[in-house]
Amino acid sequence: MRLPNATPRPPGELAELERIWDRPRGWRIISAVNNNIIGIFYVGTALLFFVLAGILALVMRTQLAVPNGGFVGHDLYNQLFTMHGTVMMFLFAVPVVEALGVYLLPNLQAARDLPFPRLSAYAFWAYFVGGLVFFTSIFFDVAPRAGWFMYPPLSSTEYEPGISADFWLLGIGFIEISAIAGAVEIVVGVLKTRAPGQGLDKLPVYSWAMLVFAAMIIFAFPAVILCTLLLELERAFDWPFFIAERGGDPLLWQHLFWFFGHPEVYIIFLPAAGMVSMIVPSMAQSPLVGYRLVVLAILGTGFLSFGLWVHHMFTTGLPELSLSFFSAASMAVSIPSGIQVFAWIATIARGKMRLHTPALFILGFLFIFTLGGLTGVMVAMMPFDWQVHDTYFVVAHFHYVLIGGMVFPLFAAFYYWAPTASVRMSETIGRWVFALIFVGVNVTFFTMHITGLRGMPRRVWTYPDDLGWNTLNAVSTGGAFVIAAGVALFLFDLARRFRPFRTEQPGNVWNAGTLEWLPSGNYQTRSVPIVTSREPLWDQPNLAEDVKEGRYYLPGAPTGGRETIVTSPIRAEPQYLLRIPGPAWSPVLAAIFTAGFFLLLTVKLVPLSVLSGVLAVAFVLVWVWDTDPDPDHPPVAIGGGIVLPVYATGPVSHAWWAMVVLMLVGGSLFACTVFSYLFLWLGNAEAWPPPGAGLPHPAWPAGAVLLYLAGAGAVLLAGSFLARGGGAGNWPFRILLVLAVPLLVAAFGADLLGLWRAGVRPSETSYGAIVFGFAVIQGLYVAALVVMAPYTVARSFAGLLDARRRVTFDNTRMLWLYAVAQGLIALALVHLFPRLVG
Amino acid sequence: MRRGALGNRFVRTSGRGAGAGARRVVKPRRLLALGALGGTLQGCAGVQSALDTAGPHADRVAALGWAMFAAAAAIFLLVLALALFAVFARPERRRWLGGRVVVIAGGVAFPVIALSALLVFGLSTLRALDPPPAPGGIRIEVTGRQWWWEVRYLDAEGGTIAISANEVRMPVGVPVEFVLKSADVIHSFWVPSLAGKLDMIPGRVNSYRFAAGRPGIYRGQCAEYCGAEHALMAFFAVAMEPAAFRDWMARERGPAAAPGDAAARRGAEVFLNAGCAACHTIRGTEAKGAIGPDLTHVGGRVSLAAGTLPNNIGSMEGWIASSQHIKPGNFMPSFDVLSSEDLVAVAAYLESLR
Amino acid sequence: MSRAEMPAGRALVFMAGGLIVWACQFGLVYAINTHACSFGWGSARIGGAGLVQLLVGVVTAVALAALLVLFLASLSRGEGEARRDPAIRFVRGMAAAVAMFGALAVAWTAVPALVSMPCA
Repeated sequence: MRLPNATPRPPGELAELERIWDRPRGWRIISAVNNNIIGIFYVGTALLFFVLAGILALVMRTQLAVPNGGFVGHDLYNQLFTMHGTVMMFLFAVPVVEALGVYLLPNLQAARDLPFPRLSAYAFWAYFVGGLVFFTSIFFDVAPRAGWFMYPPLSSTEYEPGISADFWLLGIGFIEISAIAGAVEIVVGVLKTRAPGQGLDKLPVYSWAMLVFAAMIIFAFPAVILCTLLLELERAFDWPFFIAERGGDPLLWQHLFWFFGHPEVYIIFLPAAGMVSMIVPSMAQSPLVGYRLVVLAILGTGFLSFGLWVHHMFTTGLPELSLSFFSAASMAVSIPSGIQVFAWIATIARGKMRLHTPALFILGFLFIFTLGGLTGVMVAMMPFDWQVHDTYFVVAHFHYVLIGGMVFPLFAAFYYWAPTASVRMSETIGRWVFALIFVGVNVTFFTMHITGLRGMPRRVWTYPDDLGWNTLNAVSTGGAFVIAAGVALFLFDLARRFRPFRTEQPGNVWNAGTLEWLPSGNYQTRSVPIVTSREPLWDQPNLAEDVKEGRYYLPGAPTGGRETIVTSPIRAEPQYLLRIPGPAWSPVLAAIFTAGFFLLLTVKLVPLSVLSGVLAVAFVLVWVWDTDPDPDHPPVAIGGGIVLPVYATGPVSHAWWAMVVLMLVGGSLFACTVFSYLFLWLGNAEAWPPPGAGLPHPAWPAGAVLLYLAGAGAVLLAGSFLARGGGAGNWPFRILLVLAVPLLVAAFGADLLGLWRAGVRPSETSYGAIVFGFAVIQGLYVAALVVMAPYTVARSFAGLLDARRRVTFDNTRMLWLYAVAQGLIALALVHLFPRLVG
Repeated sequence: MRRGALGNRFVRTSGRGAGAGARRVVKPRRLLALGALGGTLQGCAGVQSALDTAGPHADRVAALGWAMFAAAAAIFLLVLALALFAVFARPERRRWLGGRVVVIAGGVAFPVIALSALLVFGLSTLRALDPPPAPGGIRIEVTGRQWWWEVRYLDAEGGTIAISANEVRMPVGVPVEFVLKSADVIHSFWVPSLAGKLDMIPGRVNSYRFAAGRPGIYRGQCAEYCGAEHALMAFFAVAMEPAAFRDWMARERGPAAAPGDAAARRGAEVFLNAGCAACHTIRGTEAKGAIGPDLTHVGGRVSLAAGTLPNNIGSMEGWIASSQHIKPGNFMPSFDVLSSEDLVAVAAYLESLR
Repeated sequence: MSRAEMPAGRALVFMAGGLIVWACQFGLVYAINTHACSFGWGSARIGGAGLVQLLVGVVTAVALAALLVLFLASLSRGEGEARRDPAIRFVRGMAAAVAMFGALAVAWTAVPALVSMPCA
């Protein structure tokens, strides 16, 4: 095969590439945005939270080592278990898999970086600052104490008057936003920035897993964002979404929370399973058996995991048949796990498993995860669940699933991929780490199955000494310290050997087949290979050498800045060259001020919080200002006769995809709100709207509809003026876009005013609360557009927006039309639905 | 079965006892010296184990559980054996295991058959759990409160026959319907030896019917995290022979006994004057408080403080004087201002209320 | 840019179609039962069969029909370059497999309606 570029390459080409992709030195590394650097920061921070949450668990286990223990009191214990769950789920598990995705995906797909490196940096810093401040609440006795699931009414103002619940709601709500930012990045990264030829049929299983992972975040996280928002509205303004006396329903929280919470488990598991599907073939030196079946399993898991949320509500007294549907879905979701387990076993059987540390962790994973999966099928049977629900049996079950399904693969991944970032970790110590953790986990948690069956409930800070739980608990505590010893040993080895950001690497130490083992630097690979196999390094001879010498695509940096090849989502054909932004302080500052906004709001420093929020928005605008580069740069030859444009708009562009993904997030949030509305209606159908809060005269919503449509029309018309080009349409474009803003605000205001005049009050009944809840959601979009429209006009004035260079306007228009569509649906639901059913 | 006619209907509660004014907020104290608690539970008879069953409901669930355990253990060992075989067997012997057929057989075909069987078996168990409705059967309304249980025995029309706390008594062999409510946060009603758990949710009424198979004292505990003292919110289900139950009920529905001796008389006075009556009711006396448990027949109960202490005069004194040490954060203040004579008297009086 | 590239959004939805059908069926049957129990027509019967069971049956039948259509559509070969391209063939094969898996999930979801009481 003829390679795209001839060698020798021009002198200075490599040096130029290295200069452009060099990381900021010294403390300036904070401004770095490259995935290799942010990825390592991200993984490291997640690991820190793993250790911190683990320490909380050790304190709890010490308290429970003996009956009637006096090590900690009930109040601290309740904070400890709340924080342990919250930190493990929100600050460790999701971030760490997202972090590894940020680090690994460009490596696996031979992209120079992810498409939105500054977004990754923002997501990381928001998480870093927000997470650390959130964690410190435990030292000031203001940590949340209502459990990581935060069920109202226990988390409502009446039973939790302090700020600790607000810490949870705002802190976590905000970290979820960071997770969503990361998910947008990952979806677009997997679909659009791959090595040429790496079509969907050759996509690494890990990329598949991350794609489905990110898609699941997009559909699951809005549910928890909504319920945290509703509960915070209830706490701050007394809007009774969950207060039974005023028509609210505590179960609404449980539905929304678990609609997020159950997929969450698989959100954590899928990336881990993806890692296993990369590590097993490499350690066994044989391609994965049943690639298509495994991809099917990943897709199946992604969907079916959304049909399980009531699983967590089997004891709430819902109708039997409703519960049974969820039992059935629980059966179905275990098929994909079965497929994957047998695919791994078959791959091991076909190859020859080399029992290095990563392989040991994989085998440990198979052992623990299989056991956890089987107890999962057991708790999916309602009668059995009624006994073990909220007992230590369930604690045992989900620790088997989460530690087995996620922590073990993570350790395997760490030992496996460490050489791509630094050096190989010590094999001797690695075996000890594995042995300690494996034994510790089984001693701790297998015992808990029995403790639970013998009647010990969860979340108890102490227990009496005559119920036969003493020995079991002592054993569990002992096991917990064995796990801790293993983790400590791992940290010791890490501190001793792991030195990231070095340029020399040990190379393809496992003789693996995938692209992350190509010789690489911060710019990833010297040239971007054509991929013709799932394991290119096994099947494409001399690939590493050719890539390193620059014989493949894009051996330099022809535009003089950072760039990566954007490929088509299905076949991975090169489409255009994406110029990506370099290091910047604005994402870091935007993240810090976003965190400041939420945290200051928690401690009720409202003016400071607003200031912080304004600064956050300002820095976001600074950061995006130079992300829509000059479209007039001539097309660039990347080799092999392929000449790529360096600018793209519309459905080809990465920006369009990101916007679509963002609107899916919005749509999901809105769908959850609609669900909440209908759910509350079901409980109050006889009085909807309740007496005293009538429906506004139809003129109000009709006026709002007209204003929405007029605003949307103005935006569309502005677009057609922009398209004329040549500057002639500039003024009409600007005027129309500015004019559209008051129309949008007026539409929003007309609806609110109508409701208010009809006597609807958000704090009186759940009806008023949810109707105004729609307004809050819609208000977010109105506020965003009120910022985006002037920003777009400003770019027009600055000469940065014209008929070709129009991504900013395209995005604003797309969001505008979305907001109008959502507003119209909400109007129909609020004003027509009660008239239809009433 | 688990939910009767009231199930899932949205029921507005009157807010009785749940308003902020009705609750006395005692600042939770961090308690380091819990020695007082150690060992005090000795003698509280009763088991709390899903493995030690004493009723048809729990029996059936245990049978389902054991069947699933056996199947799960077999599957687990098989997977483990295959994995080890794949790693360690000689290449020519393990070759058959390395194909797509294995993935389809082990990952699709086998689970589909096994899980279909389990689904039908499990759902049938669910139906079998439904005891035949017993017309005119016993209904007991249990209301979860932070951190104790209010118990009302209902007549056929839903009127209250008798009020008790932290203890349900039921005749053996007859399905009893438990009407489950909450007055504050979510709790969960669970007696593992007799049946699984069902939540008590504000604004909803859940209903659960099950029977005890043999006489005995079975421990139950709140299974939904409900705040500070969730760990110390237990109760006892006492299953009695029907005749004994009838006798007990005849006494339980009546008012409290008049104090029998001088000490008890003094105790009754202290009870009214020291503030106890602000929260507690003793039927037949002036004490009509509605915040804490009804104490009309408190001397006859198995435990004190929702399963936290055995019921005897010593623990009664201890509880009154230092309730905040024994169960920190609960809504009863420690009456450590009482003189020791008053304390002994009031404890003696309460213990005489059988 | 290639002529044979499928519109990506459509291809992704097509590939996951079988499971999207399941999600619709699952959501619908759950909503049906919840409404039935809330409004007290959980034990209503039409011509010997329970109303809830009947509705679940209808939804399931429609879902299975949709899956059949998807499955047949995924078998059609396409033309020209699309016929040979491995990535596009992969998408079609995956759509077929997902439709089959979706059928299993849909069938299982309907099983409880045959066994369980709607509102007990």
